[in-house]
Amino acid sequence: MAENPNQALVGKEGPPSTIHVDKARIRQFARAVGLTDPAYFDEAEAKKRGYPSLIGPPTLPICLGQDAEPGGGGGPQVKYDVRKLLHEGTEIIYDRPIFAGDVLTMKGQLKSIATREGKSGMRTIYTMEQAFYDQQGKRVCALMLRISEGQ
Amino acid sequence: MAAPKFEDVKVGDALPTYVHEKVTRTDLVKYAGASGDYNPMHHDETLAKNVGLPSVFAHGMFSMGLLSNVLVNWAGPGSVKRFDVQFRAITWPDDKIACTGKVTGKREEGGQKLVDVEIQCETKPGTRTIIGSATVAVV
Repeated sequence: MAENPNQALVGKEGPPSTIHVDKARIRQFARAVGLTDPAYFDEAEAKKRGYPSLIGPPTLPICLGQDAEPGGGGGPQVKYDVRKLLHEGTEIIYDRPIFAGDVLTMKGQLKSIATREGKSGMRTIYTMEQAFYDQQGKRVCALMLRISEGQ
Repeated sequence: MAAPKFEDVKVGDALPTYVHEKVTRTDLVKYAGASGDYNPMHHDETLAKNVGLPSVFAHGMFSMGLLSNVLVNWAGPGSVKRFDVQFRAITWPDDKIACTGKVTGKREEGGQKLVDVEIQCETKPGTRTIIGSATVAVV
């Protein structure tokens, strides 16, 4: 089998993006996944808990790329056949929660490429990482997406 | 409900179940809008049928979002340290999704009291659409 042309992208970071985390996005996302805690909706309630503003739902990082300021890149442009893709899994790691008002820098990279035997033949597994940093350069969280492509 | 206390947590404890009674196409459109994931297989019935699917199907990340309720309803909104899932089966419109979790371990690390849990989503008895694990911080 020919070497995967995406192999050269492994470990390379795309240009960083800036994201202003917004109260409206947190409320919209929380509603879409059935969360009901007032800390996702009501800033006064969030502050009573000691949070600076609304807290981000656990899976919020998946949606933040769409709120990037123009000019960022997100991650390297991996080429694959979208008709053969499956979302295999996701891992999210938090160093601290995300809050409305955070200004985050998102850096995307292709972490690894692997293969595994699937039910209908070999599949290529791409692990994409998006890491989010605060304005002091400390990591807030990282999102790992495992996507597979049929060969 | 009151957040669990570290000393009271025991391996094998069940987390409170979260049930989404019925997946609707409106749920999927709402999730598409919130997440920015506009893959048409999640909202365009005509296109989904044209590629041989019985209907649109749910985003895996929609189910992972529902599953997050189990963690935050138990340990609070700021508790999640790690949340890892594998998508095992497709979720279809009209499916009921039961999200459950169970304590598998507890440990103190870097001054934090951490509880490890295993979690899953099930659409029918025996059909696990998601399996995974998570770590939450408790006080």
